[in-house]
Amino acid sequence: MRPSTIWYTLKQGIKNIKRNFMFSIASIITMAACIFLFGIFFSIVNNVNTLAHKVEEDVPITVLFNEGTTQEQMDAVGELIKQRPEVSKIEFESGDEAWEKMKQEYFGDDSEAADGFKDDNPLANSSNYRVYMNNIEKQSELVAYIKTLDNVREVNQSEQAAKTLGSINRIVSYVSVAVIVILLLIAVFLISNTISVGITVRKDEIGIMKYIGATDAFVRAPFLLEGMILGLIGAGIPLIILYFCYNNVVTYVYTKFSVLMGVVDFIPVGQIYQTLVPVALALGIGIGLVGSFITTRKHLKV
Amino acid sequence: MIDLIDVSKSYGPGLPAVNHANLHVDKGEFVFIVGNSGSGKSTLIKLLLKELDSTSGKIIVSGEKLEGMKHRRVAKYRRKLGVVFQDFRLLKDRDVYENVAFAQRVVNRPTRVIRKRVPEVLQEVGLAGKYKAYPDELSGGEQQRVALARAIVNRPDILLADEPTGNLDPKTSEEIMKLLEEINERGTTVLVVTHNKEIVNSMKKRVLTMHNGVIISDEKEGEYYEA
Repeated sequence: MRPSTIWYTLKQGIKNIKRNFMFSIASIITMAACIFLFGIFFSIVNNVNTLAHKVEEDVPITVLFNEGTTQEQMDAVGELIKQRPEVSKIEFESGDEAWEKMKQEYFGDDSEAADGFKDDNPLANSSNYRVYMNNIEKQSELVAYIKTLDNVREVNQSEQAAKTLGSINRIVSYVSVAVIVILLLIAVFLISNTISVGITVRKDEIGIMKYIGATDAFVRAPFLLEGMILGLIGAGIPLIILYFCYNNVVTYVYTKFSVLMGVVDFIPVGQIYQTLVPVALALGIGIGLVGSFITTRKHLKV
Repeated sequence: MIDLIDVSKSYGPGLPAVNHANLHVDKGEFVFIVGNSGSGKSTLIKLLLKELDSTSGKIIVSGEKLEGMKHRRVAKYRRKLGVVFQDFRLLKDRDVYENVAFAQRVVNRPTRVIRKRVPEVLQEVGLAGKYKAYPDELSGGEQQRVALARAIVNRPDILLADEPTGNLDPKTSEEIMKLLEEINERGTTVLVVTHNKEIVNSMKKRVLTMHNGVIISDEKEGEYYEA
C-alpha cells in the first residue's frame, strides 16, 4: 500500500465517523460501557484470586497422630516435616491445648457445660502439628509425604477458606463472562449498524469507486478503520475512568473497613493495568473490526 | 477489442433483455448503440462493465473473458474501461480536481503522478480554469466534462458512455460528442448509448440498432432508424 493510500483511508475513516456523529457516539458509549464492566470484573476476579492464594498460604495443614503415639515420636515427625524446603514453619499443639482452646471457643464462660467433661478430655487424642507452607503448589505433594510417616493418623488440608473464595471467584467469573458476552454482542451490533449507515450515506461514492476499478479492499478499508477507531476510543475512555475509580475504591474500602488493612491486599492498579490495558484495547479494536467486517462483507458486494 | 458471441441475458421468465447478440468492435472504433427504452442497450453496457453476468454466450473484452471471471479480478478489469452516465455521478462534496483525482487514488496512483495528470486531463476536456469549483456550481455540460475527465484520466482502452447527453441541451450535447470524438481520435475505443437522433445522424459513425434485446442492424456510417 502506498503512503498516499494509507493517508486516504485514514482520512475517509475519520470523515465517516464525523458524518454519522450520533451513531458513532452511540457505538463508542456502548463499547465504553462494555469495556468498563469488563475492567471491573477483571479487577475483581484478579483481586479475589490473589486473596484466595494468600489465604491458601496462610491456612496450615494439620497433622494428627495415632492413639498412643508418644511425644518423642511426634517430635521426630515434626523434625522430618521441618526439614522439607516448602515448609515455612510448624506449630505443635497438644491434646490439652486443643481442648482448652475449644472450650473457650464453644462454651465461653459457660464453664458448667464444659465441666461436664471433667478431666475426660475428648480431644486427648488431638495433639497435632500445624504446618505452614511457603509454596502452596506443593501442598498435595507434602500431604502425601506426611501420610507416609510413622504414627500419622490423618492429614487435614484446611482448604475450606480457599475453596469458598474459589467458588466466589467462579461465580463472579461466570456472571462477568455472561454480562460481557451480551455487551459484546450489543457492541458488535451497534458498530455494525453505524457502519451500515455510513455505507448507505456513501452508496453513490462506493458505486463510482467500483466502476472506476477500486478493489474490495480499497472500498472496505475506510469502514474497517472506522470500526477500529470507534473500538479504540470506546476502550480508551473506560480505561482512563477505571484507573481513577480503582484507586478511589481501594482507599474507600480501607477507610470504611479498616479491619481489612493488612489482611486484604489489593493488587496495585499499575499491576492490574499491565494486563488490562492490552487486553481491553485489543478487545475494543477487535470488536470494532469484527462489527465493520461483517457489515462490509454484507453490503459491499458489487 | 470487444467480442460478443451469441450473448443472452434474461432477468427472469419472458423475453430476454439481450437476445443472442453477436458483435465485434475493433480497437479505436467509435460505435453508437441506439434503440428505444427497453431495447437492451443499458443491459449491454452493464454486461460489458461486468455489473451483470450473461445468461449464455461469451464476452471477451480487451483480451479478457468475462464469463467465470473471479470477483477479485473484476476491479482490475474495470480499470481498462472508462464510464460516463447520463446523471454524471460526481461526488458533490469534492471539487473538480478531487473528483478527477479520485479515480487515480482508487487505482493507487502516487500523488506526484496525480498532480501532473489531473491538470492535463482537465485541460483536454476544457475545464482547466474550474478545477476548484464544486459540481453544484457547474452547468450540466461542465459536469459531464468532469465525468469524462474522470473516465479517461487512467487512460482506459475503452470508454463506455450511457446516454451521456440525456440531460443536456442540443448545443452542449454537441460539444460533449465532439469531446468523445477527440478522445476516440487519441486511440480510445468509444461506445455511446444514446437516444439523440440528430447527433447520430450528423456524426456518420458506426451505428448499432437494438430492438427487444436483438441487434437488428449494424451499419458503418449508419443512421438512427426508428424501430
